[in-house]
Amino acid sequence: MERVFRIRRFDPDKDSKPYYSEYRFDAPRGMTVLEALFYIIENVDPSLSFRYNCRAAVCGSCGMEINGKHRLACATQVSELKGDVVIEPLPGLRVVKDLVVDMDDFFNKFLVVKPYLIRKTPPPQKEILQSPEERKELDPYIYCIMCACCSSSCPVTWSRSTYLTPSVFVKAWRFVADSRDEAKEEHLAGVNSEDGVWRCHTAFRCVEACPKDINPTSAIVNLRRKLAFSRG
Amino acid sequence: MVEYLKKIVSETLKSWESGFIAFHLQRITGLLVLVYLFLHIGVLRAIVGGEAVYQQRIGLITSPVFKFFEWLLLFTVLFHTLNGVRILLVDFFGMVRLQKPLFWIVAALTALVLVVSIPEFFTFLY
Repeated sequence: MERVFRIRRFDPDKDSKPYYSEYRFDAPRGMTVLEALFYIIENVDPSLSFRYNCRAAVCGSCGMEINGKHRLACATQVSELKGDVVIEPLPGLRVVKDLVVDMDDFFNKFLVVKPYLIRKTPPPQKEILQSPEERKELDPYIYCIMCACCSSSCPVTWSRSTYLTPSVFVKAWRFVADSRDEAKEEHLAGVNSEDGVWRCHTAFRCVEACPKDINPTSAIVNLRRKLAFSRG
Repeated sequence: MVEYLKKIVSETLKSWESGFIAFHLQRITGLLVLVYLFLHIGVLRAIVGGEAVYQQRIGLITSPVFKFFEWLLLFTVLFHTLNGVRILLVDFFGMVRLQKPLFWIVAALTALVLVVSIPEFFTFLY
C-alpha cells in the first residue's frame, strides 16, 4: 500500500528555515518507521539524516516526533499510523541536521544527580544483597533508555533550557529508591533546586510521551515528598 | 518568547491530551481571574464618584452582555479551583495515575454547575 511520508528537513549550513520533503512508496506490512527512513536514504534521497543504533527499542537513539507523538522510530509500525506519516525531530532540542538533534545538553544534565550507585561502607565479599521486593521498587524506573522523548515533550523545558527535565528525575529516583545506595541525600540534592523537581507543572506530557511506559511524574512526586519530609 | 509561543501552540494542536489541556486551562483561567480582580476593583471604585456614577456603572454591569461574561467568569473560577484541587490530589496525595479520571471529574463538575446555573444568570431570557 502506497504511503506518503512528510519529513521535516533542515540543514543549518544551507537552509535559512526548515521545510518538508515528501516521499511516496509502498510500505509493506511489518515495516517500521525506521525501516521506512532506511528505504528513503537507500532508494530515494541519500541526503536525509537521522540517528539510530540498536533497532530494538533499547538504545534510545531514534526518538522523534511521528504524527505529533513522541515515539521511537524502530518501535513504531507504519501500519499503525493513520494518513500521511509526518516525521519531525524532537522539539526543544537544537537541530543538528534533519531529524538529528543535539543531545549534549540533555546528557550533561544527568551529572547533577550523580547517576550511579554510591556506597559508603566497604564492599562485601560477594554481591550486595537485595530482596525481590526491594528490586521490584525500581521496576517502573529502571527501564529508562534516555531517548529524550519525555524531556523534549515537556513545556517547561521549552521555556527554560536549564530545567533538569523529567528523565533526570526518573534517574534520580531510580537511585534514591535503590536499597543498595548509601548516598540518597546526594542524589536528592541534585534535584532540590530552582530548576529541579519544584519546577514541574504536572502537564503530564512526559507520561504520554514515554515509549517505555515509565511514569516520570510519579518519580517527581516521590522525590518531592522525600525532599519535603527529609528537611529538618 | 515568540519562539516558545509558536512551539507551545504547534505542539498543542498536534496532541490533545487531558493533562496538557488542563495545564493550559489552569494558566489561562488564572490570568483571567487576575484580570477580573482589577476590573472588579475598577467598577467598585465608582463609589468614590458619588451615588449617580455608581448607579450608572452598576447599571452597565447588570446588562445581558455582562451577565453572559459573569457566567463565563463562573467557568473560569470554577475550573481553576477544581483543577487546583486535582493538582493537590496528584501532588500531595500521590494520585498521579488517576490524573486522567480526575480531569474528567473536574470537567464534568464544571459543566454541571454551568448548566444548572443558567436560569440564575439568564433571567432576561424568560
